[in-house]
Amino acid sequence: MPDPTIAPAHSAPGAAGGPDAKLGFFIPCLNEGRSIGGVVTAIRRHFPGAPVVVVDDGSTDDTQRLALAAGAYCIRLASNMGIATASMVGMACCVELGCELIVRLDGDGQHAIADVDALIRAWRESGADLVTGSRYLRGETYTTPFRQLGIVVLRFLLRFLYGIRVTDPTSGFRLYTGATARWLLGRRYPVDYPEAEELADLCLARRFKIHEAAVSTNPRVEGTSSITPFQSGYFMLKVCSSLLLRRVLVLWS
Amino acid sequence: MELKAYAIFIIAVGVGVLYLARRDYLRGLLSERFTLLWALSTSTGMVLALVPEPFVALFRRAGVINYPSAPITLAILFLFLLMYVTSRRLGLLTQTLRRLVVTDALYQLKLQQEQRGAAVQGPVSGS
Repeated sequence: MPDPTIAPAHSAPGAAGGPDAKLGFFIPCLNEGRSIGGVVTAIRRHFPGAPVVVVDDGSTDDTQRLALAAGAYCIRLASNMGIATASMVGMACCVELGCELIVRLDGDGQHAIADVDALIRAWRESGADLVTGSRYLRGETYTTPFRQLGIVVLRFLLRFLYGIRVTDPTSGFRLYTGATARWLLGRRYPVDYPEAEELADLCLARRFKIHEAAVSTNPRVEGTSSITPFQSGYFMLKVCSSLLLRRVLVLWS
Repeated sequence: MELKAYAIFIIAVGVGVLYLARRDYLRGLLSERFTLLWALSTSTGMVLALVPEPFVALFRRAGVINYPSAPITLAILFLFLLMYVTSRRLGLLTQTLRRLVVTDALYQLKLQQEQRGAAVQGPVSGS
């Protein structure tokens, strides 16, 4: 099966992320047996030949078997290690497979595969190093009021502390260039929830361009979110303190 | 506000721990969570040392007379240092474990690539 190639308008032929850039996907997931097969199949139908790496973060259902049956590589973690470690593993596998454009998405089917084209288009047009899919650019607000409040707080912190203007800082639907992924992996990858912290780290490095693209979110068809309201509050506390601390420590140094 | 010798000592230790925590965080040896723990606990310790009166009343009400006395202060400092060393070790262990997890993942990936390669080539027949 041929490798899919993406032809960006801004890149020189042969350059990293250039016309021959290889596209790859990784999906960190936990107990997504009901939807993972469909997600992998949809990716392989839309992007034939693109490697798909499913990182099974200690599922107790048949996520691993179904992902492998659908044609993905499936990396099984020894125990539940959290979204950050699962993302780090998925990214490392895509880099190992030689992918120069790496897309991360969720295994619950909420991210529309057709929107990957929107991420790629945004990358082509902006030349960004990281393109995040935003659920809010189209005016959609599918989430709970509590989570919405958390997102508003994170938006404010990222803008106030780091000067990043993003509408959806917790979006797990994003596209990395190979160079960005290698840079993120080459340093200490965030330990907890990586989405907002990745943005902060890339901003502090002062050489990465971040861009947003409008994407849609499908309602969750199967299963329930592994994040409870209590965990959402704890998550907010941790991420906010981490963003604040990062900024203070870097300013201090 | 009376600045006593023990207060100066606690503040000096607090600043030292904060400096070490910051240095280790920037080196990647301490996680954000532990660094935050150090920032909060040492800051609280320094405030307690600087403005002891309201806290002395609290401790007295709880049955601990004459806080901050030298033995209690020393015990707290010892605990601080012990926790600092432990959290630093934990940070190192976490980083090492994550590297091992990635190594194992790449090994799994390689095995699956080989299996796919073998499946495409088909079974090898003996001569």
